[in-house]
Amino acid sequence: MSISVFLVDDHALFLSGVRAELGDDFDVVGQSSDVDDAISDILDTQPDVVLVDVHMPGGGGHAVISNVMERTPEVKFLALSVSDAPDDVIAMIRAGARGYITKSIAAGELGTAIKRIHDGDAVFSPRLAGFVLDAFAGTVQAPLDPELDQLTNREKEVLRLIARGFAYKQVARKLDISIKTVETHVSSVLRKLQLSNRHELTRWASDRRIV
Amino acid sequence: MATPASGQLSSAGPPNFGVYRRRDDRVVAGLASGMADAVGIDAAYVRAAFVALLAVSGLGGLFYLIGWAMTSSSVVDARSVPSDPIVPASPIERHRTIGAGLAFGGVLLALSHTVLWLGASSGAVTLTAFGLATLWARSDRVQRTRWTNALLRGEWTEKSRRELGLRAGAGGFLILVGLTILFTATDTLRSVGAVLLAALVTGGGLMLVLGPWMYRLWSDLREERRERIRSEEREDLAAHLHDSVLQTLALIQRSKNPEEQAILARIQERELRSWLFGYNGDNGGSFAKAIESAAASVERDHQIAVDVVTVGDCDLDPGVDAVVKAAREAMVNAAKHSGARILSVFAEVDTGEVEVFVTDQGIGFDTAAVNDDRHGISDSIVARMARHGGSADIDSEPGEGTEVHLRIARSVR
Repeated sequence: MSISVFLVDDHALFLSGVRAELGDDFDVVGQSSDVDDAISDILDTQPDVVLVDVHMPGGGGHAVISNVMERTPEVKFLALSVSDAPDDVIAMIRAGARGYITKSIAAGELGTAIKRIHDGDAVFSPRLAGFVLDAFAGTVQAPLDPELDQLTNREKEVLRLIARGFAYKQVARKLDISIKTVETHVSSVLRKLQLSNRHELTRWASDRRIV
Repeated sequence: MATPASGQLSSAGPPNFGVYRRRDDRVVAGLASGMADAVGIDAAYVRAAFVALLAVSGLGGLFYLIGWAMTSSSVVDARSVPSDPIVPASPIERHRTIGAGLAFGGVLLALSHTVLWLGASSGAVTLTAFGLATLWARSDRVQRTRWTNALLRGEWTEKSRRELGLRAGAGGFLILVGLTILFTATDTLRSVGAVLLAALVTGGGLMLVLGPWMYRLWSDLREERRERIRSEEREDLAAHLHDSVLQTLALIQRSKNPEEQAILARIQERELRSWLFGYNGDNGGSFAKAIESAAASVERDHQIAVDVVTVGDCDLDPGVDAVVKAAREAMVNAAKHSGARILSVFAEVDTGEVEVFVTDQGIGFDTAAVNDDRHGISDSIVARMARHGGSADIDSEPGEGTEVHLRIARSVR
């Protein structure tokens, strides 16, 4: 059975483009162009994966994510955007998105990303990896939770390789580890990103009023 | 005299301070009961006040006249629904109004004879008052409409209307007191202090009465200015989009080559993004921005996509600048020789060092067999980095793409 996908984006052109792109391999069960519709339609259709734009009229993509996740945590979100601003992206991840890609992503890679999200893994684009390294840069004086507030050296290595443009498979080969291990590291980074109380992260999040 | 025709209630009437002359409850022209309504007290008190002031050199009459000129009459009280039909003044009412006007004129005339100075100043005051009323009525058309609309549609709360009435009442009272002091003081020419006090009190009263109007005028002006700034910003935006995005879109439509279209779109995207995020083309001594613009220039000159990720930032110094130049050279090399369509550039500023990776997934080459004619790598990259105390490692294998790794220790300041 193919993965069911729901699209949330207020740009009609982009919606139809993605729809055509995913058509054969995925089951596109619906699309919405504003926050409130998106929330009710996603709750109705219960898709496997939701592609959600960062910038949306009426609350932004993170409003969709947090509202849906409250009721059905099993729906998975992949954020996509043309936006560069780190706070927007971090806000999406903090709200519960399992990955972030830019809209300029190549057609084949979008499908790979959706499958990866569906399998419960995280999808880090080079740009997101850069943001995360930035957010976790430096050491925290007396971290509240050392487990969550810092990245391990291995995680940093993985993120650096992703930021350098390597795919997970290449990262695995470079570090001489399995792809599964790479995925584990990335998922662990995602968890820290969502749960850490690091000042840099909470500042971004509270600017967006999602914490 | 510029007395407004009585018996007309319409939104085009003069401003009222929330006070209408009540035609259904009046002794002379209904001003007292109208004022009483606005303040929320019994009309008898207001009438008593007017009568009492009449006793003070006939001031009550003068103020009644002023109040009369500055208000319009209402069929019923001001709080009623606007759908009430506007009843034209009946001949009897008109006669009564004219009669009242004549009576006031007589009173004024009589006063001017008995006390000479009051005749002169009351005339001046009356004229000024009517002049002000007319001026106001003319200059204030928009606000007046808004105001009367608010009043008639009942959009104001009971509280705000009461406040307005109270303010007008208190202000009016202060003006009365002030003028009374003024007149009595000039009468006996007792002291300059009393005149000053009178001026102060009168001024306070005027502030109370006119304050809200002036505030409204001021905030309207401010709003207008803000609107103008907004529209100027819109024009700037439109101009910018026209010069950049629209031109590129036109180019893309004319282009038959998908790759060229993609490049055009990318260049435009980068340009627009840097504009949106406030980057004005000046690196400002920032390493990250220098890397970004190096990538942008390679993208433009060599028709290749360059993905840049930067972590941290630092000021440019000769060493760091060398890294930027070497990185640019590495990008140009990759663009020319790798055959890849996308380059990745990752620049990281750590506490100790600055690192840049320029990575492509292209054809790669055998690093052991670099030709001498490829000066780019040996001179511009390796030698340049060595000169500044840094290093350049080139990692490549045929078919495996190429990665150039530049690093330099940060100079201690």
